[in-house]
Amino acid sequence: MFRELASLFPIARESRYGLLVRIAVTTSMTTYSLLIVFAGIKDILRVNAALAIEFIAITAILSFDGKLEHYLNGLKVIFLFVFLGALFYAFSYLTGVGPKSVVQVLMGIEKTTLLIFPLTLAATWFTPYEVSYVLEKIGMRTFSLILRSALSKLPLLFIDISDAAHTIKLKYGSGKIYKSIYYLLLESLLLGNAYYEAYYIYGLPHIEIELIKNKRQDAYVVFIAISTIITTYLLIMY
Amino acid sequence: MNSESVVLEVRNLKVSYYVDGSREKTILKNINLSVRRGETVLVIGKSGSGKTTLARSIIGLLNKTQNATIEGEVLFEGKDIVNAGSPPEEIKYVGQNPYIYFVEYHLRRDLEGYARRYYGEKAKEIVLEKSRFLGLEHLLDRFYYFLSGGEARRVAILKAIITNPEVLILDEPLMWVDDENVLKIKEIIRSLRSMNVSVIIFEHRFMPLLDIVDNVYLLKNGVLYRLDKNRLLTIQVLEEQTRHNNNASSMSPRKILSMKNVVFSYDDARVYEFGDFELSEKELIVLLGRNGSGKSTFLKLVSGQLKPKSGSITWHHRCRTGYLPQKPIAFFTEITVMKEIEEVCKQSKNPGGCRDNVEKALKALGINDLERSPFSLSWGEQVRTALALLGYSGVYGLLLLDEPFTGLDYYDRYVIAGILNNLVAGNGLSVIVAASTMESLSCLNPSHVYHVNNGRLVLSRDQHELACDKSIALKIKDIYEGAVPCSEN
Repeated sequence: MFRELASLFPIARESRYGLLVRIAVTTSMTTYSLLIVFAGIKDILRVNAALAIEFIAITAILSFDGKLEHYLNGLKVIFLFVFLGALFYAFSYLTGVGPKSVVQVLMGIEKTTLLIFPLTLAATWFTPYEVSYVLEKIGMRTFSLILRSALSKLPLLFIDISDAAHTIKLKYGSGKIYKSIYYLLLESLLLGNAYYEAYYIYGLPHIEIELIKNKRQDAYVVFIAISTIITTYLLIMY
Repeated sequence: MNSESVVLEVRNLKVSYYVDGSREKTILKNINLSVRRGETVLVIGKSGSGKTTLARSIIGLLNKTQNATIEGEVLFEGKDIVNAGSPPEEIKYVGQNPYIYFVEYHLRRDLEGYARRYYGEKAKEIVLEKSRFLGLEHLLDRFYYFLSGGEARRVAILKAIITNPEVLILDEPLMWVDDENVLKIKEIIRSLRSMNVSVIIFEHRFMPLLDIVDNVYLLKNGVLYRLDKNRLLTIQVLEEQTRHNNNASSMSPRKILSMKNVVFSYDDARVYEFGDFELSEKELIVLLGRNGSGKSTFLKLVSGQLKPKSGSITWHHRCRTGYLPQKPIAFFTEITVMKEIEEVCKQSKNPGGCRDNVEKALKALGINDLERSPFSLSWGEQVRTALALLGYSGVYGLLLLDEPFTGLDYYDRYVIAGILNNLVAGNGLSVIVAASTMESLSCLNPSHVYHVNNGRLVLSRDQHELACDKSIALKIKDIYEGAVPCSEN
């Protein structure tokens, strides 16, 4: 499983859109979700409509960008958490400590999903490299450095964990994988030390990002995404 | 060599660590070494002899990253490196783990980002030029963690030479590297020579490098000895001549497992069509293939960690499988070797007998202090300890060993090959060994050798290709033991 996790990292495939347009669209989607969630809408049909419009917008944009498959894969994992959230709502409802009707339970689940969509979009659309760049530009250089360093070695750690888990499973049988803890702790320390040495000699590479890729295309996407969201919001609220 | 001027000089270098807070342990004693411009120097020595410590001292890493006491001087063109605030740009170091030198997943992005700091707008051009010079252009659009060991090492060297260093230090550049990549790394070292770069190589798998180095030194017990390169070359010739005189072991009839039309594929589109394979009791199978050819994947299919996409794996006679990963340290779980023995032997039907057998085996293999932490053993000691636990505990019937000869010096390889032959012939175990180089298999007595080519298993028709000449290992041991310190030369 850990090896599969390591292989998830090549999501860093180039997007057709520049960084700025992706930030603009993701921010407006997130704002839209927050406004809907906290607007105190009582009508479930309106929440359904908001959810559908957001999903269609994201699907359309990502299809054009060739990243829909990654997004849908990401949603699979996210929906596991939505399911757990649904169980929690259902449990609260049944024990009488949470929502007072089934409609409220459904509303809670839909609002959670509404917040999850843009988060998944962000995870699909931005590479750690771009996140580091943004953090550096907004003055959070130390945090950017930590994030870049940690993320850069995650695939190696996943591969190490996978190998250790496999070895220990064969050595002692299932259920004793916790025994690999000494090795993993030691390996993390050694990897950290080796990484520090590499950083000491080579430093970090300069980050270069294309903020805008195709002016006209980027402008269309921003215009369509934001105007759709504003129109939908106004229609739903009033 | 184009110039006789000394570019790097190590004078009276002494390095010690504090062990357990107070006890001082000296790793390097009064080391003296001069490296001329364009010279290629090879430093050999057993694992744990201090090679990496010396390499790190030269680049000035040791006192920055570890709590070591350093006396003496390391001078680059007359300037002290040890006490310098930052590492000199003229010296670059590529350590044992080549993967840690990449920050960005995408190699081109990483290399261009690094080059940009020195060359600005010309970065792309420089990276392309250097990668063409080393023949690595085709790797630039890969993700670093999908590279094989040999490829990662070559790209790490590419990163190191982007700034045109005058000295390049390579620590174990042939580790996990298959025969084809060994040739490519040698080619790179030759190219560096042509650029007048001084190269210092620390390596215990030294035979393939003898024809490209100017001087050979041995590091033993913290002392540096100068060796006669010609004497080592004679052994190299002997080794090549004796690779064709081996006896295959007798085959056993009882089948353990068979694989039919097995195909496996990873998400990143690598597809391995292994086809058919059979394993019987008391068989020692060698899987020989390049880095990334699918050997480890095959072992994982046999052990059940991976499931085939199509085809079948049938166990005719189920037996417990033990696995030694590429990094032997990942095998250990306990604080002491003794606790390792106890934990493994708990699974045995006869725990007392198991403990006795493993302890005897460990003593015979030179592991006497059983209260030592397995994590503090040298690489070779870890392999020997793991094999004693796997082979002599009576718990496991089939051993899967992923590159067990990597990281070992020639004498250790000879010892490990002896253990494996004995486990199969004497203890009746079945063993599958994955290896990337013929060189590491000397003295092994396999039932079958399979060549693994892009995931295809091809049974070698020549059953006698792995040779053993004990005298070679012993001659190297003699040279190690009879070496004279540099000062007495």
